[in-house]
Parts: sequence; structure tokens; C-alpha cells
Amino acid sequence: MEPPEGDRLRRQPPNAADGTSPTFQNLNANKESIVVDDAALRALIGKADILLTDQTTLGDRGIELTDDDVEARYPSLVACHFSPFGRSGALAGRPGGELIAQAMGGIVATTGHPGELPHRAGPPLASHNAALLGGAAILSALYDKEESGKGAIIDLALYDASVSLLYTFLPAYFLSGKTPGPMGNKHMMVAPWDNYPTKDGWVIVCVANDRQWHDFLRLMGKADLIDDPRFAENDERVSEIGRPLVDGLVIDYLADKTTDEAIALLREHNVPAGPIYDVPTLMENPQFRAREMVQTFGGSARTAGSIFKMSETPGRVHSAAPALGRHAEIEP
Amino acid sequence: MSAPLEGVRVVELGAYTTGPLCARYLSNLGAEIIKVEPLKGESMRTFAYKVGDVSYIFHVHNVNKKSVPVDTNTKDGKAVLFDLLRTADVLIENFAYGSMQKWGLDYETIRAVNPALIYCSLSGFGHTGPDRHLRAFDTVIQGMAGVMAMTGTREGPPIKIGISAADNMGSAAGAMAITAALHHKCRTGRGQHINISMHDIQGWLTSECWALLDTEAGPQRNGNRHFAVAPQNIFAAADGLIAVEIETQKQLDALCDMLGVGQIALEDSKAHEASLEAALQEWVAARSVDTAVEDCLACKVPAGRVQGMDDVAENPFTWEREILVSLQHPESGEVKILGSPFKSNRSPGVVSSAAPTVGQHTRDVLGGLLGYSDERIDALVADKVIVDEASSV
Repeated sequence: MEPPEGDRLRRQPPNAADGTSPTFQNLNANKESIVVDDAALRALIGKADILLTDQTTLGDRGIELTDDDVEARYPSLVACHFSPFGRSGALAGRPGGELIAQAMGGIVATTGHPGELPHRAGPPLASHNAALLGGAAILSALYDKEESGKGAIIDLALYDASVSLLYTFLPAYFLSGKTPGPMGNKHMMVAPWDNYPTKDGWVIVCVANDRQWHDFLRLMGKADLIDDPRFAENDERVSEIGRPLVDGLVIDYLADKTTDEAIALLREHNVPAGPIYDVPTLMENPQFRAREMVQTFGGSARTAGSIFKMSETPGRVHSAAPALGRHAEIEP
Repeated sequence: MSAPLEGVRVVELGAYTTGPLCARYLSNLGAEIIKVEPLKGESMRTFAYKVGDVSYIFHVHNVNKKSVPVDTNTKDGKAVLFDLLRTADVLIENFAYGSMQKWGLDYETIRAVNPALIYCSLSGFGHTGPDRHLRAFDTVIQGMAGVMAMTGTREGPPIKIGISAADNMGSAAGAMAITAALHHKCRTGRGQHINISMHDIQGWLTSECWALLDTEAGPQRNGNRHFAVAPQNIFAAADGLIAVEIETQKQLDALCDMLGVGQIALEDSKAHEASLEAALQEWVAARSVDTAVEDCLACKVPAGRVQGMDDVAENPFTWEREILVSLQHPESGEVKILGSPFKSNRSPGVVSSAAPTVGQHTRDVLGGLLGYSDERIDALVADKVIVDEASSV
């Protein structure tokens, strides 16, 4: 349901030839469009299983739909309200979008390089994570409804979705009282783990356990260091003394190799490693393409394929984003 | 008040984050989780930052669960696992592609045991495609999916998202797919195989910038700015950082009023980015974080503090929302831990018990649920097929 002038994302630059932005098209495949008013909304809700709103959807359009209304008149409706800070507590109702959710939710303060201004996650992490959690909340409520006949009113906060991502930082803070800052591409709890320079670029190496570290030492021709007490176990490798030592070994080993050579060798020895792809490269990536993750309709904007690969109920993208009011014939 | 997945039983064969956290999310929605661990306990128990002998992060991922260690490589262990799977609705596994097959636990085998079972595989690249054999951890996935390329400044190198985005979003996507499959199972009685790829999901995460692929400059990392709307950035107040984020014409009008500059159309806002940011930076610098945020909000300009882990943990709102909660662990005492992000008028989300010790629930589950006799359980313990906490002490 859109306001009479259309969802504001339709006008967000860059615009496609038909005036609708590719951003709108990407987010709105598979949908029907109808211009919203109070009467149409109430009539449709009576026939709907799920009502989704975000902070801009209802109040901004002069529609007052209280929880009491919903519970009294639509008792089997599953309503999910997305908002920056939820509908309870001291910050309820505060405005904010992706950047503020990331900033307040602790994502910004932990992204970037030490000593520099921190960064947001480039992609809209808080919104996407909230969308997935909202999907789980809604579908579990629908599952419950099959038996109980009762709907639910779900309160999904972008803040909650962001803080839920901080789990790797809780231990350090609550045990040591230290606030983790940005660590570049290192991992707080395991090492070696970073992007390392090669002759012609970077390679990412993630050593998650002792076995992989020992495999790596063998690859480097340094099997004699497997029992070296300075970095035999992960607890030592993440310490202030151990981490620079293992990073140094990795850097020396990779210095005379290209990224492709390094990745081939590391993978052959079961050390998790990979390149850094830009987005155009991702679009051509054989794996991403084999999974049908990039979809287009008649040469128009690209939209993401379904992340839900399921043997009985595979997710699919079946139609392009609708024109405004395209489905006005929908009978409320 | 009842949690929506009450009565749903999940067997988790997981390690590290993606599988265990996916099961944890389902437990927040009310599902019962039986964690089938290796006899010595799951790998993440040994990670750095320990409470007692167990990694703190293991606690975070494993609240609400029952621990039943089984050596599934033995014939008897496999029989125990299959007995569990006959009673279960869902199996979650997050091993490298091919591992479950090697162990005789692939979907076709398990489907023969219980055709109604939802079998969810969470892996780096999924179970199809040329890269499905690759071993990968979070940062490798972020690198290969364009996420790092889009994070940081144009001048600086690519940066990963600080938190483990690929791991955690894989868990959330798994939880969503499983709840959809439960709905399908409820209607048809049929289970299915779900294969979730962390790489798919991180690639999907970048899809906002696909809109720029046909523009001259293409998608580029942009610091804290948005590619289409301004101003959105981090600004330095006298005692810390705040984020200001304009998304709508109304908010831009409010900002212009607040700064005392002329009105600008939202579609033209990027052209005025530099001057708006300079004026806003000057305005913010003259205030403390608290005052700057308060003044912005009073003018209806969206703003918020850049909260570090300490700010998040000390902010009473975080506890009021119960997104952080405190649990008592029988051995470790108080553990502060993530709550449930699933709040509804029917359930606040379940966070009921601390992470289990190895084999804490073996006797309960095998005796109570499967009806194994004490003698049979003792024999399985003696044969080193299972671990029972009581007998291992």
C-alpha cells in the first residue's frame, strides 16, 4: 500500500528511464500496489493474514490503528511493526533509519581501523537483519495461529536487531570492562585473522582453530613451530605478544605470492582464505550466478534472487515491482 | 502468554556460530533445543574469554538448550541420534558441505528415518554451485560478497563489518526459512531440505547498491554517507560522536530550519552535501553529545549517539527492552547475555536457562523422551558412545 504520490523510494536517484528508481524495483519485486486510504486498509486487513508496517506507513498517512482495534476486530491477524527503537521503553517512537540504528546499536563504533573515525557497515545491515528476524517472528506466529487461532502483534526494533549482532563483543566488555573499538579486519577471539598483503593485492585469511594453524605452519614449511609455546594455542595467538608474531609469519609467507597463488595454496591446505571482490565482480561470480542470486526482468533493474533455497518450497522471484496503483482492481 | 514455537523440537548438530545461533533464535521463539555435541563438548566452548572453564561466547549462543553429547561416528551413537530425530521437527547443521554425507547423515539418509523432518543446512556457499566445497569463515564471506568493498572510505582499504555479519545473518535467515518450513509441514505433513548460503545472504545485503551498477561511477564505498540522500554522516560533538540521518523531505526541511539555511529539495540534497555537512559539523561541535541529540530531536531531526559496547551495555533502555538480560549459571554465577529480539503481545521471547554443561541433559532426554532404561544409558556411557554429566564427574 502506497501513499497517493507513491513510495518515496520510487523517486530516489539514480532513476531508471521510466522514472522509477532501481532501488525501489529491487525491494519490491513480487508485490502488488494499491494506493492506501483508511477504508481500503481496514477492508483489506479483514482478509489478510499479515500486516507489516514501518514507522512511516500508517501514522504519517493519517491512519489510526491501535493495538486494541487490532485485537478486538482482527484477532487472528499477525501484525508486525518495524521501528527504530520499538514500541516500549524510554526511546520508543524516536526517529531514525539505518545509520542511526547502526550508530546506536554498536555497529558503527566497532567497524573501521583502530585510531580512525569509525564507519557504518556500507550495506544496510540493521534493516536486513531486522527483516530476517521479523520474518521468523511472523512465520512462527502464523504457525502458532494454525492451532490457537490467535494472531499476534509483533514489535520488531532495528535497535534490538543491531544489538543482537554484538555477541562477539559482549564477552570482552563484561569480563574485562574494556570497550572494544574498531579492529580493522581482525577478529577479537581468534588469530591469525585479517586481510594480508600479497604481491598484487590482498588475501583474507581466517584461522579459526589450532588444527588449521598447524596446517598453515606445515604449508609455510615451519612444522617445527607447531609446539612453540608462544602461539601453539589460540589463547596465546590472540594475546598481545602472540598476535603480532603469527601475523608476521603470515605476512612474510605471502609477500612473494600473488593473490591467486596464495588462495590456491591456502585452500589446498584447508586454511580458509579468499579474495576481496567488488560488487561488479560479485555480479559475474560463478557461484552467485549458479545460485541465481541476480535476477532481472526484461532488462530492467537487477533484483536479488531468493536466499531461501528449499527443496519443497523454494523461494522465487516471479514478477517485477509494480507500477503505482497497478492493482487498484484488488477488491477490498 | 505463550511463545509461538512451544512444542517444536529441534536437534542441533552445530559448531561455532551459525548453527548454534540459529537454534538459539528458535529457542527464543519457544522451541525445545537438543544440542547433540561431540563427547568432549562443542568447539566454541574453548574460545577465548572464559567464564570458569567455558567460553563466554558459548554461553551467549547456547542459552535455553539441552546438552546430549553423542559420538555419532559409532553405530550405537548413530542409533541414538536417529531415535532423537524420529521425535524431532527440525535438524540444524552447519558443517562444511560434504561432511554430513561423509558421516552418513546426509538428507536422503535422514529423510528415510523421518520424512516429516525439516533438515536445515547452513554453510558458507550453500550445497549447490562451483564453490560449494570451499571452506570459509565470516570475513572470507564478507570479502567475497562485496560487503567489504562497500564498507569504509573510497581513499582507504576495504573494511569488514566489525561484527560477524555473515555468521549472524545466516542464523537469522535459517530461522526464517525453518519457520516457513514448519508452516508448510503443518499443512502438508512433509519435511524438506533447506540449504542456506552465507555468501548468498551477504551478496543480497549489498543489493541496495546494485542500483548504481549502470551509473558511470558504479557502486563505491562511501564512508558513512548514503549514495542518494544527504546529509547522513557521523559528526563530532564536544565529547563524542553522533549520527545524523536525513531520509525524507520533512526531515530535510527541519534540518535546514535548525541550521538557518534555505530549503532544499530532497532530490537535490546530494549536491548540497558538503555545505550541509559543514554547517551541521559546526553546529554539533558546539554541543555535548547529549545536548546535540536532544536539540536535533526537538527540531524533529533524527539523530543518535554513536554507542560503543559500553554505552549499549550501560544504557538502561537496553535492559528495559530486555535485549540484554542477566542469567544465573549454576557454576559461573551471573552471566550477562543477549535477550530475545522477538517481542510480541503474546510472548516477550524466551530466555529461560543458561547454557548447559556437557551432558547435563543426557539422562533426562534419553530416559524421559526416548524411554531408554538406566541400564541402557549406563552401557552407552561405558562404551563411550554418550556422555552423561552425572557419570562423568
